[in-house]
Amino acid sequence: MTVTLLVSLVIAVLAGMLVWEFRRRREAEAKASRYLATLTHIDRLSMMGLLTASLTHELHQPLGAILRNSEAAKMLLSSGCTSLAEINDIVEDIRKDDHRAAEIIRRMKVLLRKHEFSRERVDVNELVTETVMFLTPTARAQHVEVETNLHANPPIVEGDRVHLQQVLLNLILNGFDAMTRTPPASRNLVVSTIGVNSQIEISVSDRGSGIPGDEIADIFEPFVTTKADGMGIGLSIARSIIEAHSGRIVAENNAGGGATVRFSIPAHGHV
Amino acid sequence: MMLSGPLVVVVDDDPAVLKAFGRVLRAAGFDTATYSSAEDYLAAPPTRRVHCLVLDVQLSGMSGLDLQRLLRSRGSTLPVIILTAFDDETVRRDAWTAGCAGYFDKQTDVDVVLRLIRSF
Repeated sequence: MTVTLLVSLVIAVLAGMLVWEFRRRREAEAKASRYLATLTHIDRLSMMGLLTASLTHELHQPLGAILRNSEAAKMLLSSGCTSLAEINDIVEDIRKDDHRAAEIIRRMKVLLRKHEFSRERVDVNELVTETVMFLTPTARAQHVEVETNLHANPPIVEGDRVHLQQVLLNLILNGFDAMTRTPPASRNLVVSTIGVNSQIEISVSDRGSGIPGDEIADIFEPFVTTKADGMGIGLSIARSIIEAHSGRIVAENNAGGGATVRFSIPAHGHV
Repeated sequence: MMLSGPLVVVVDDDPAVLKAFGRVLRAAGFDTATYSSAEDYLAAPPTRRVHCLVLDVQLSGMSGLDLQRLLRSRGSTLPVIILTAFDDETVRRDAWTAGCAGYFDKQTDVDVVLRLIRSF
């Protein structure tokens, strides 16, 4: 009887310890998850900081057009122009450019906001096209020619559009950085989307200096960077994001020079 | 409206900016020839005498500054005005070194730009 009591007591204590350990681990995981979300946000903010010049340039285009159009309208009106059709055209163009500027700001806000992981249908081709367009002023400023090779039958994935865009932005900006010492005429970056089995693979390939052999194995580890002023978290965040999508990400050097980073995520059918 | 004023060439790869700038120049009495890229201009420059060139700095393909340098190297004396979406110290210096007649950002009052164009 005493032995039974003792055994029951031991089991109860062990069970209590297990429950306590389970709760402790769950709390630790929740904390780690919150830290990761914050770090992901910080990484995205730091990238947006790098893109300030590019974003400013993009905004100045519709604003510049609005200014010129309103100046044209004023001139026409003060010169006694009676063509209402022409004034109407001008006003319509001003309206369109206002919407264009507002859309640029909306996109910026989406990327700047803190963002909880969410699931939605994402058209990867559309994501690549939008991201490349977003980076056009930056590419031009660095004399990089960006090409896209998109899968003919646009694949759909289910995932977090903001986070996937963050990965893509990170990889493309890394590609630009890798080519700062490449002669301008050879600065070529290719973004491709390919269907491989039931996965979608997106790859970003540059013609830069490549990844040093002794660093390639650790390139996705945090705080590993080849940049003097880099934080070294971008690629580790990218890996976390892709793994959260049940995908994988790899980096390799190209036979003809430069490097390619590719990530694949499960596809969920087509458009 | 009779478009027989001096011919101003505008090169800008943003369609909205190109259209609006062309419009304001015509409202001010100039004739205009618009191009979306330096390459397009080089492939088919106007046959009429050109009064001056207004070039955006950032173009797809050859930049506005490179176009200016190319024209200078070919002995062109056409006045070139450089326009930019955002002011940048380096670009401004490069533009002046390359011999531009004027350098403005896209928020500059059009009267200032027109005054310069009329002075050529």
